[in-house]
Amino acid sequence: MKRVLIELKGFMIEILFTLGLMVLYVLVIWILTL
Amino acid sequence: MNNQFKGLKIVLYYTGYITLGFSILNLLPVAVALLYSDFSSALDFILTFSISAILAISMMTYGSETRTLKGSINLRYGLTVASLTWVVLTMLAAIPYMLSGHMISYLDACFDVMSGFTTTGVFLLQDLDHISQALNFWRHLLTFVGGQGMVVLALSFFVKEMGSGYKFYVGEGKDIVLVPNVKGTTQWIWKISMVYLAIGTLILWISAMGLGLSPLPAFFHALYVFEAAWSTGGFAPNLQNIMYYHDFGFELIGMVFFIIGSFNFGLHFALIQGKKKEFFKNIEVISFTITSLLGTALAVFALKNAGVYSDGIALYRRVVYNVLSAHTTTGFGSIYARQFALEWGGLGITVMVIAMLIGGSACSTAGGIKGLRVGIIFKGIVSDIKKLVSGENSVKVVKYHHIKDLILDDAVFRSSAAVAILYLVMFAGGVIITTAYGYPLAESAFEVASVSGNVGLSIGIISAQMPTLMKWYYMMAMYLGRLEFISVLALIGLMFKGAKQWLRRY
Repeated sequence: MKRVLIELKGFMIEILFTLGLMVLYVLVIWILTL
Repeated sequence: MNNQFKGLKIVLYYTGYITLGFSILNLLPVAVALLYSDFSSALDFILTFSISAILAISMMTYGSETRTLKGSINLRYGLTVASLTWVVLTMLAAIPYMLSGHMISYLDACFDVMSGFTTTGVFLLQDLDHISQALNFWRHLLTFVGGQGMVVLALSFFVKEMGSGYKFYVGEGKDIVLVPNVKGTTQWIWKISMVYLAIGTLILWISAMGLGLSPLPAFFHALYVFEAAWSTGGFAPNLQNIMYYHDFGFELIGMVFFIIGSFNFGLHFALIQGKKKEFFKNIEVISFTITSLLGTALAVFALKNAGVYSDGIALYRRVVYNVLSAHTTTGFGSIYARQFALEWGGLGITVMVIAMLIGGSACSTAGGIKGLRVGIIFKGIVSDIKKLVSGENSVKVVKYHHIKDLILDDAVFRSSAAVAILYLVMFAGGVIITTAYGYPLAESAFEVASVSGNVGLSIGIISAQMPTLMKWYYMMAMYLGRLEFISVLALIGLMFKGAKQWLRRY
């Protein structure tokens, strides 16, 4: 059970990191449209 | 084992094994067809199942002596099995396409299957909006299975019969070892994909119902979009592709999963094992972050200045989305094909072509030259320049991080550069053929980069009416691009060797 939770946490972390990466593209637009 | 036709027997035996596993997949669309009381489609898939199973058993019977080898085979046979399997399965999977009445020719059906298997996403299918649910299920199932790899799927079940497993799946461009044994590695690849399938389909299902779709169609839409996103495939159940949903939130969810899908299975595994720092240290993530930021910045700059998209939301939905769809080799399009040609201009198209050629990560579902190779080549060149400038005579060890610290030596640089050069040669060949038929240069480069990098975005050249030679070349480009040349070259080499022996004998 503990191992499953650790693995699920890993999946969630990857999704969060990807969302963070997607925010960088918002910054690109923000800088270029200032 | 009798030496006569030994190679052929080994190759056919294992190809038969994988084909047998594939034939079982045909039963899934049968279930979908029966759910919709679509007996005509059910029969199409039962027929395909029967033909595939008979062919598989025939191949295995012919090569049955291979069993005495107990899975210990030469690497070239492993590579050949991988490349031959993709050809055989493409021809078999095209049968239900052909029987559906939505294809103009069998070549077109094979083109669509190759596009699905290689996670490209272009298609020649007619009247996509009115195909059966079973055929739509089949299209997306093929792209999902193709993304993980057919050989990888077979190894998850038949590893005892295919003892030299690594030699088989390395031919599918997945030279990865997650855990010390082959079965464990292939099962991890599937486990990661299935967990994401559950998470992604659930989120997209809720989102699709929020858009007004009733639960059952919403489920199938969610499943299809997830399969196409995760496999960086780009298929969608409707002609308008991702624009059909007309929703920024739905597009963003798809975007999360196609970006994750373009990452290396080694990276997924490391993160699942709790190695969070890997995300920030990995050469492929760094390479993807830099090239995608540069690409989006250039495209946003070009299209904002051209006045095509004025506000930030439109720039994100139409420009960033398409550049990332190209870079991850997904192929979801949030604008119509001809808009690229008519609105994006020279710089916009150039960015897209470069992004499509670079592609996603190695050992992922993505295509292209791959971020790992781009990172290695870039680092190798920088190190050579540094050496020249500093005038150092001493040998300096250059390292890069990919799951672990690795040494960037001449052999690593050479193999990366060789694959990159082969990609560029294939790309140049495609551009020459396409322009020879009278298509404009920029549009030809866009379309050829799309098929070479297994992307699937189109600028409007690919259609059932395009010349037959172009269909053949694009199919070959998808196939070579996905299998990364080596295994296909092994197949060609073995065929020539076999033909030479046969001619000498008679």
